[in-house]
Order: sequence, then C-alpha cells, then structure tokens
Amino acid sequence: MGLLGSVTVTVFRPDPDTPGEFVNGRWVVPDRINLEITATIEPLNDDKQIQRLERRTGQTITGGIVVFTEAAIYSVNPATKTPGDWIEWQGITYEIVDVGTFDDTSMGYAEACAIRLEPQP
Amino acid sequence: MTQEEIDDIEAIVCDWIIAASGLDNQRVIMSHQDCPDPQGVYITLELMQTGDTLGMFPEQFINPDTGVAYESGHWRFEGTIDAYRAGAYGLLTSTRSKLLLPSFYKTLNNAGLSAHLGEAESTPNLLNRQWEQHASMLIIMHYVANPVEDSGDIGYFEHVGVTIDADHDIDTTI
Repeated sequence: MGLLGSVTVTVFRPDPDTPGEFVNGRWVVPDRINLEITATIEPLNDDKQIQRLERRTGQTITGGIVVFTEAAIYSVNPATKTPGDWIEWQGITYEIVDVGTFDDTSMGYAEACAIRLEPQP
Repeated sequence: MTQEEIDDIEAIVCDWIIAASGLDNQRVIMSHQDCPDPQGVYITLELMQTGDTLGMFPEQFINPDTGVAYESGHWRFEGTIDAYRAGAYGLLTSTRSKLLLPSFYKTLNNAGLSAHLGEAESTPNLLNRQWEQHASMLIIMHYVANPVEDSGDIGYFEHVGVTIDADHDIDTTI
C-alpha cells in the first residue's frame, strides 16, 4: 500500500562496506551511497517533538522535516556514533536524527525526523 | 593563522604522539569529533590557539641584511592529551617520558614547534555506572612561523636577525 502524497526522494547513506578512518587524527567519512525511496514529507512543526530533538542533538532546530516511508531508513546511532542517513528534499539536505514507527497505524511505516544540514537562515 | 596551518600543526603533533605512544594512527585522534570510538586504548589531543605574535614579535619583520620583509609570528596553543580505557594512565606516563626525548622532540623543533607537558594524572570517568580509565595531561605549545635555523638547542629557534626563546616554559621539563 502506497503512502498518500508520496514522492521519490534521494537518500545518502554511509557505505557499510567502506567505513571511515582517521587521517591526521581527523575522522574522514567516505562517500555515501545514493538510494531512491518513496516517502511522504511533512514539515517538522510539532513544538514538543522539536524540543525533544533539540535536547537530543544539542542543536537549535529551525528547519526540519518528518519523513513517512516504508523503506528502511537509519538515524544517527549514539552507541556506535555511526552517522545517519541524509535525505534531499526540494534541493535541501537533511540528516535523519530519529526514527520511530508511525503511531496511528500498524502498517509498518517508519516516521523519521530529519533536521537541516546546511546553515539555516 | 589559517585553518590549513592549524591542520598541519595538528598533524605534526599527532605524528609526534603516535611515534612516542606506539599506537597506530587510528588510535591517536583529535578530540571533540563526530566519529566512532577507536578500538581499545586510545589517545585524544585537544589544542586551542590561545595567543598569537606575543608582544615583541610582529606578524612581519625585515631581514636587516637584505631588507626583505618576512611574514612571521609566534603562536601559543594550550590543550590536553588524554588517554582512555584499560591501561590509560600507564600509556600516558610512558608516552610523556618519550615525547620529550630529543629523538622524538626533534621532529617538533624541525617544524617550528615546541611543547611543555604537564604531569600525567589519572582521572577515571564514571560512564554507564562503570568506571572508565582515563588519564590526562596538559600541553602548552609554541609555534614559530618561518624558522630559518635551529640553533641546536632544543626549544630555541633563530629567525632572520632574531633569536627566539620559543619555549621558556620547557627549561624545567627537559
């Protein structure tokens, strides 16, 4: 079953086969692999959710989206510090910081929060 | 000082610590990064620029013999070298004793750098209800741009027309 209002978006995922390495003491992330997924995108405008994400990420969030999708999608893993997927939507790149199940249904959709990577206006 | 110059200094200091500690280059890293934790015991380096062209040293000076102007300067960095996980204190203590040996220290001098190291201290961290071994020592570094000649004494650099005591702090350490 498809998602209402779904669009095709590009996901940039850290390549699990080529982990990063330290070069001169700095962590160098390898190129990401590109994937296309179908998702429904909504703006991130729930104040409580934004506050929760700000506490988690330590960033002030002024630009974010919520991604509903049936595809596998990954957030930052705090335990291993593996970076999360990036998702490009309308020419802006966001980083997935939180993934959960979509509470209102039991259809296995993922509900992921993503915050804007570029300097925010 | 440009970011590239700072990156170069960090790379030189990392190599200096790698050589003295015996760890590989995946376990001597700069602190405060978004990155996976290295495997096993590891060392982090934090350096912060805290001063530049101290007092009498201008950014530019003139070679009295030729009249040519040289861009130069004298920068100061402060920070910490930390070791984590099992054997951290022993590793940092042995690393500290080697860092200041002329055979290791010379690599810094050749790059225009000098360092003063504090004593290694054991400062374990409580993480997830378990103690993680952690040791730390202070580091103060001086960087002299465009050193033209090493006078032969560790810690002293000669510039064109000027002799700089780049690391007066280090006298009691070596």
